[in-house]
Amino acid sequence: MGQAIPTLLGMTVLIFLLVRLLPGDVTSAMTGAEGGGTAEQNEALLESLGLKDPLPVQYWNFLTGMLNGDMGNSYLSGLPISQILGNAIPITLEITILATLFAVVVGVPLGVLSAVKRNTAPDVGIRIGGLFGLSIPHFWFGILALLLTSSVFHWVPQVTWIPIWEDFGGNLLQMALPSLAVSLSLLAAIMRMTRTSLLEVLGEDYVRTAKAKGASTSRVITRHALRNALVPVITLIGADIGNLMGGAAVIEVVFGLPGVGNTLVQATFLRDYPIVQSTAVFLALVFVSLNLVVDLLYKTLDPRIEYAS
Amino acid sequence: MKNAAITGAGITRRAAVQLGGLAGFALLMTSCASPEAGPKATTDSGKPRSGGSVVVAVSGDPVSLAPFGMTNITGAYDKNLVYESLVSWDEEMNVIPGLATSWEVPDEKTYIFHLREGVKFHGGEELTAEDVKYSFESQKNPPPPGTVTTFFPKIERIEVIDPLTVKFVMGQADGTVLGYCAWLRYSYICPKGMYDALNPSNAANGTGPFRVDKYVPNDHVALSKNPEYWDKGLPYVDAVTMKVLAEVQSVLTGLTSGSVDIGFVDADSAVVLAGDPNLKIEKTPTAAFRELEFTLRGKNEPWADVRVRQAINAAIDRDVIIKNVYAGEALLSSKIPPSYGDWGTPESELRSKYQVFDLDKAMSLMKDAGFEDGFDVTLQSQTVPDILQVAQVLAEQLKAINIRVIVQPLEIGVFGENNATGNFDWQVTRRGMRGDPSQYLSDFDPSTSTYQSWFEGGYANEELTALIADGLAESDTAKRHEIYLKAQDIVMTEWPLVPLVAPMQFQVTRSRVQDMAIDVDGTYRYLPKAWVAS
Repeated sequence: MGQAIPTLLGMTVLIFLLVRLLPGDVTSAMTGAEGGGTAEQNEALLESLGLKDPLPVQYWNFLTGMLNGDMGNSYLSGLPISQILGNAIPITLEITILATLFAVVVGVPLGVLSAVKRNTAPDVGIRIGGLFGLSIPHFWFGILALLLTSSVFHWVPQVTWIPIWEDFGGNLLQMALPSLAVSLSLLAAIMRMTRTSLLEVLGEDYVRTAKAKGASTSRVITRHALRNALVPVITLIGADIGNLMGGAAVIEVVFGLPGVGNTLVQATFLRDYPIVQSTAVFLALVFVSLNLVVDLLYKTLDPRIEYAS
Repeated sequence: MKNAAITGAGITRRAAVQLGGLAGFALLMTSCASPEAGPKATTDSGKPRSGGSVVVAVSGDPVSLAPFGMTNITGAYDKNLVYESLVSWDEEMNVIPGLATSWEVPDEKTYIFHLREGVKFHGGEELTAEDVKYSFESQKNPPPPGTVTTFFPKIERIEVIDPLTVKFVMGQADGTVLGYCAWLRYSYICPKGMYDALNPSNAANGTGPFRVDKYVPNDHVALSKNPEYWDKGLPYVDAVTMKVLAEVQSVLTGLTSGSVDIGFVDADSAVVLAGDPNLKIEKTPTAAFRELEFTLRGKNEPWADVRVRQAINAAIDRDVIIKNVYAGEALLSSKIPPSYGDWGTPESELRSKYQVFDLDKAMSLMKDAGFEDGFDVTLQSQTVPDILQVAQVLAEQLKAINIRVIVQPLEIGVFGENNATGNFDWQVTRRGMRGDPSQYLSDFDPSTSTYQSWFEGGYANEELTALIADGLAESDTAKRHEIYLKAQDIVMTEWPLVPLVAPMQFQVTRSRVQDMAIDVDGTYRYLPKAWVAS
């Protein structure tokens, strides 16, 4: 916790500065060759948006706004950032959660099977599948999945987002393909990590002792080996969830979902600083929080783990 | 006891569950299949009927619904259905009455418009000349977040004659007024004081056939029929969802599956969709012709020599671009694109006189100019796939005359900034629609910011400047025609810019949607006349 807060503060400074390093500003994003504004007019526009204030003043306004829950409004649509993110966050969170759940529910058992059936045909098949999962770009898989379902089943997910609280089944159906596409690489990584970790743990003395005492293979795995084997897997999930959220941006564009990633990408193109800053800080917050949760989970999984005071 | 699931003996419990899951998934997908699943031609033409809804795929978010000073076409998709102007275009781009039923041009500096009586805004207010005055003054100096554009006609002031009559007093003769209004994109009319009454960036109050119900950024705009629309009987459909689908494959799959009813696709996708009996495909040349642009700022650029620019033009084989980048679906383009009917230089002349691929001539010109060994140059390009491909083709072709082109793909914000400020040597881009053909030549008008950014100090042609002014001042169409042909002749002799090709644009419509005419501007302005068959 002591490290999380300075990390987040540092992130806000970095995000604030990085977005202003991009060439151009919101006026140039609007104009191109068709804009005829004089330099004075463009300056007046920037002034009205607060972009001519000194950088420390702009940063202070941004930071205090975030802390007070007032993230400001989009320069272009005028909508409150809180409303825009309020629409976007559930989508990306849902994709991330579904993708993670799917990756864990499928990846861990596959990893276990692969470890137990080491060097047999199932093991080889699973490991080859894992390589595909790691190698296939998820946006390409997403496009392929869309093409397959549209041409074979004449079906694609509904184009406008269905909130889960409005139609649970419809929402799950809509989110299935994007979540599957996003989950592939994490699923493969979880499978491989579980396999490697489990093989290592299965060679430990206490496991051999348990087997010698007559415990069944399933009991040895579930009661003795898996808990320890999952520690690095949890680390992997925690590290990758941030990537999932960022990687979901491309999938959100492919499937036309107005999630956090899609919103961030479009706002970056348009130099809509309030959206970029707030969205990036949100992602940073999620990443830091998740890693904190992962660190706390270690203790639950392995009580021997102690943290330095 | 051995656990069969672990040892895999026989058909395990796990295998049975997996098989069952696969079967269930297949069953679920089949049950979710669109009612129009499977090749099935539905041809229902005849009398238009009211009712129904359509989903239209648009390539980007509107960004802002503000009617004044927003230059992005993605905003025009929605705003062209919500707002109107004094006049409009029919399907042949003939100017037709809009909010004005008639107009007079008593002299070259005066336009008088007579407004349609009884027109109401979505908020219930009745349209008057005060609203027109407010709107055009706001177009001239857009409130934030809008920006001034180069297209506003030379209107000095707007006078209200009576509640239904408005007069434009021009600062100088300007023949672009009607085209500017018909184009819609910059000439929307809204109620006086609208910017104080609501946030125009995310709400709208127009006179158009549709009203904005909801705007979800990066997702969709929901429109519903305006029951008080002045053109009785229109629009036919009750609701429209303008869905943002930036990825062309998403549009393609949406059209084939039936989740999208109308959308624009590229040439390659049109080929894929051609065999689908549930889809209709229409095409027209886009006004957004592709162009190679130079800056000529008197900095001793190699291409400041007209012979070098002529050599560049002669070294470009446009047919290769048409074939390899656009699958044969593109036309040669002059500075005025072919979508403007006969205003542009005829294709036959382009092919025989102006845009002739001749490498020997190109090399000879380079030699005469003293650049036999060529030079290095950076060519900035948008990352839009076809434009980047055009840049790559140009780079390859110009190697033949020893011009070593480094293609530099740029993100759109940076590209736009460089384009606006003239911070480039060469750029390849797509131009856009214009209300009046003359506006394609505004690049060479010394009073415009484009000229000042790209050519000031490096290129000037007095005859061209005079022709631009003459064309604006001339009211006789035939004479304007002659003026602009002459202007194009100068441009395609001196090549301060190099127009390349005008790709075709393809509008795909599900067969349930009838009478959806294609818009040269690439928007959906004719949607009010489309209807959904039963």
